[in-house]
Amino acid sequence: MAKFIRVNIPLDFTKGVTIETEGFSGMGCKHATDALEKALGQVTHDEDTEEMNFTEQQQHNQQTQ
Amino acid sequence: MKRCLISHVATVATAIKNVSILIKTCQALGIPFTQGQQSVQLYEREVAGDFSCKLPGWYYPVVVDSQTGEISYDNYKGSWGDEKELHKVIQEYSLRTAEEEASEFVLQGFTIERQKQENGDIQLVISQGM
Repeated sequence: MAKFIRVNIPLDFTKGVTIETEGFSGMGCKHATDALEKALGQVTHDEDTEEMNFTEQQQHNQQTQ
Repeated sequence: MKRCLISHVATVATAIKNVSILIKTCQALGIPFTQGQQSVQLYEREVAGDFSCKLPGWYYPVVVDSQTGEISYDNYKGSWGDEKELHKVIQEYSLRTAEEEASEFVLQGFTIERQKQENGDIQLVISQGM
């Protein structure tokens, strides 16, 4: 599965840098961006995406389909 | 039931803590700067920092305290300096900082690509397994 980290650096710095991960398993997405977040400044908002809320049961259902 | 965590979105307020990247940024943009501990008068107040730079058309310098990452300036809501000049510097600094951190991913087989957006934002895409 492809892995992405997208770092959006706005023209207007007051909007804040956005870091988005996709395709990482487990807590890998958080670990992957830790250093980036610290280097760029202070995290003001951290949100799990819908993709993140897979449960083991949902995974099992997908695998058996 | 355990979650299988596979992605998230974080927003980061910019703090300038890496003076060497800031110096390279100013050099690349042709902006004069002063490095080292200093006190700078910004109209009514004096601020302390360890870096300052003079943006094109700005009356007062921009002062950075790299210990806190705080940026101090007084452009009187644009009358004493176009804020776009500051945005340019901070965008370039953030981009260079992100690229430096992202270089760790290259060792793991990731590729890095800059993508300029129509609205002026720049997106750094770090990817693997495309």
